[in-house]
Amino acid sequence: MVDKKLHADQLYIDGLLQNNSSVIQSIYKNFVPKVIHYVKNNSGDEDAARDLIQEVLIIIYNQAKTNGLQLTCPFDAYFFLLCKRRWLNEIKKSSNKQVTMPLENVSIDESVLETASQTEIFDEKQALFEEMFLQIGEKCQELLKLSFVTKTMEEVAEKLNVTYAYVRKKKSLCTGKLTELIQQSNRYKSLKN
Amino acid sequence: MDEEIYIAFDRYLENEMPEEERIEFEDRLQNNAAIREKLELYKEATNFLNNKFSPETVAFKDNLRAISKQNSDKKQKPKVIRFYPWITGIAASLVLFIGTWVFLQNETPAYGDYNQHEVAMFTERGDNNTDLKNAQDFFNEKNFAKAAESFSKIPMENNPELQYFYAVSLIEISDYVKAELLLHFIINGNSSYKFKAVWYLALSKLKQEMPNDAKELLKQIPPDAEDYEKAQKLLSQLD
Repeated sequence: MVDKKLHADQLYIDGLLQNNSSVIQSIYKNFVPKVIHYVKNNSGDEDAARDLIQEVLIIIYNQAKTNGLQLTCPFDAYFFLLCKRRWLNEIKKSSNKQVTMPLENVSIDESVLETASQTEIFDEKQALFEEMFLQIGEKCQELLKLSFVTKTMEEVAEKLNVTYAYVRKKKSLCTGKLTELIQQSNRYKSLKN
Repeated sequence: MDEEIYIAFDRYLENEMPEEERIEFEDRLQNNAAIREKLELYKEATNFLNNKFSPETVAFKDNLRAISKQNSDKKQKPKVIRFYPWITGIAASLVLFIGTWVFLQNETPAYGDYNQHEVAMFTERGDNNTDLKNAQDFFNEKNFAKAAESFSKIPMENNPELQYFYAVSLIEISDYVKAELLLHFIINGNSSYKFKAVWYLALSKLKQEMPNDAKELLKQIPPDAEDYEKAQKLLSQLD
């Protein structure tokens, strides 16, 4: 993966990562209309399409930021495939009946499929982290949030009126609790394989 | 839950273990796959939290929401996308300018007067690269559609020379959004292509019949830049 050639469209990923408005604008101008068109043709409306697009762009941003994202295929194909599959999943979830998934176009480039799949796996993990974060208890949630938005742990201690050593210990134990919950979940076990 | 291990992880990742303890800890990691896996997951959890609460992520989401909204509003009321902050503020003079421009239209310089591009020469660096060779040859043959197609297959991150020639091809085939994006990347960097990119950005504006934007850009080209004289000539024609 590391040795594969970066695609010129990596500039879109970098632009998202830098929160560069002109890059985001150009994504909206060049690639979004196609997704909106697709959603509208598949029992959705424009609002649903716009929500979906925002979700997908946030996933791409998160992946680029936490794991690094190296694009080896055109952004257009990658982005469209992610949106399309996510939309089909949403339809499947909301209608209880079985939806026949349209056959995936066989001509889709392998590197597009691979890059999109990596993003989807990342997203599933991310969703699992989110879900488990809700289960670590309010105290831990508060402390972790404070630790990550505040510049130093000394400041966190001051805000909570406890000692520095105490918040440091608490922070690692709360992160540990999150780690344990994830490790024990069945979803993590299946993601690992 | 084994509390000790997480306290150790924290100290290890924060680089707070004394040399001896660290070596011992790393030995333990080496020999214990379960702890190694736990440490990896702990790191992932930390990254997740860091990203979740980072102000940059919050800012990105806000910006995305704003652009999405702006974009859906645009359908009812078409608006020109503004790429460059310095364009703001010249709207007033534009009104005045249009009058003069219409009047003087016959003398207005055209993109075609200035599109003499330099010759692309980059294959000596990778003779086996067909896309690179094709991009170069199509570019020099002025087959810009094919050149752009070949350029699009070449990774060119951190390569302002390729970005520059790709952008020129895109201007020729009127794909301004992507062209200007690439030029913008070059301008933000510090390569020798910086002011050449400003020159072509001005030409892109000229081709799109946005002379005022072109002028603002031309004024930014300094006297020691390669394209300074051409820029001055075009400026005087636009005035």
